[in-house]
Amino acid sequence: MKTMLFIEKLFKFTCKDVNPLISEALDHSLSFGNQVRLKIHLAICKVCRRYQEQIKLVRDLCRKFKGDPLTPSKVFLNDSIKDKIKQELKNYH
Amino acid sequence: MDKPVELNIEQWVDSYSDMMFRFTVLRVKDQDAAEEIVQATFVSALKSKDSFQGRSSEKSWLFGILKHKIMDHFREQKKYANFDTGWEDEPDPLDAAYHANGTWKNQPQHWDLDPEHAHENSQLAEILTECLDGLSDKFRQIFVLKEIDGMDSEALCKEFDIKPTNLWVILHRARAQLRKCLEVKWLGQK
Repeated sequence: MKTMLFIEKLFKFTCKDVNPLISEALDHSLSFGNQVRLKIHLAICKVCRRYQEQIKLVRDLCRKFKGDPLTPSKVFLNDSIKDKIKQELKNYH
Repeated sequence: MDKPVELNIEQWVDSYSDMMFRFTVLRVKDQDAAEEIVQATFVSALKSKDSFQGRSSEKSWLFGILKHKIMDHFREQKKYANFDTGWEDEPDPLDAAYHANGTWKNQPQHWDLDPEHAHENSQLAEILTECLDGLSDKFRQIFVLKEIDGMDSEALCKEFDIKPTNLWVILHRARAQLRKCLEVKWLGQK
C-alpha cells in the first residue's frame, strides 16, 4: 500500500511542480526523489522537455555571449563624458 | 617619462570606454551610474598603474577593476534601496502560466532554432540583451553574475546575503521570465 502511494506520488507531479526542478538541476544536484520525479515527468511530457531544452539554450547563450555580443550595441559613451574622464585623469596624473 | 603614460591613458579611454560602458549598462542599467563607474575605473586604473605589470592584457586588467567597481555599486544600492525585500512575499508571477491542475496554460512554442548555432545569431543576442534589461534589478544582477560572469553560488549567496534556496528560486524565475521574453520577441520577429 505504501509503495503504491509512493508510486502514485511520483506520477502526480505536474508541469508546475517540475519546472522549478528543471532550473534547479542546473544549479545543484537534486535529491534522489526529485531526480526520479523529474525523469518520470520528462519521459511523459513533451512540453516540459521543450521547456527544459529552451532553459538550457538560454544558459548556453549567456555563456557563449559572455563577451561583447551581449551588450546593448546601440549604446555608446558620450564624447563629452570621454573628454571629462580624460580631463579627470590628467588631474590625477 | 610622463608623456608616454599620459598618451596611454588617453588611448585607453578611446579604445575601451565604449566597451566598458556597454558592459556596465547591461549590469547596472542606469546610464548615469554606468558613466560614473567607468570614470571611477579609469581613475583607479591610473592610481594603480604600477601594479599593472603586463601579466594580463590592458583590457582584462581594466575589466577586472571594472567588475569590482560594479560590485561596489551593487553593495551601495543594497544599502540604500529596498533591495532585499519584497520579492519573496509576492505571489509567484509564474503561477499565471499554469492551469489550476498544474498543466501549462501557454505551452512553450517551437523556436525553430538550431541550438548548436544559436549563439552565432546576432538578432538573438540583441533580443536576449533586451530581455535581460526587462528583469528586475535584483534578478538581473544575480542572473548576470551567475550565468554570464560565472560567479559561484556560494560567493553569490554571501554577496547578496541570501540562502541557496533563495538563489535557486531567483534563478528559476529569472530563467522562466527570460525564456518567455525570448519566445515572444523571437517568434514575433519571424
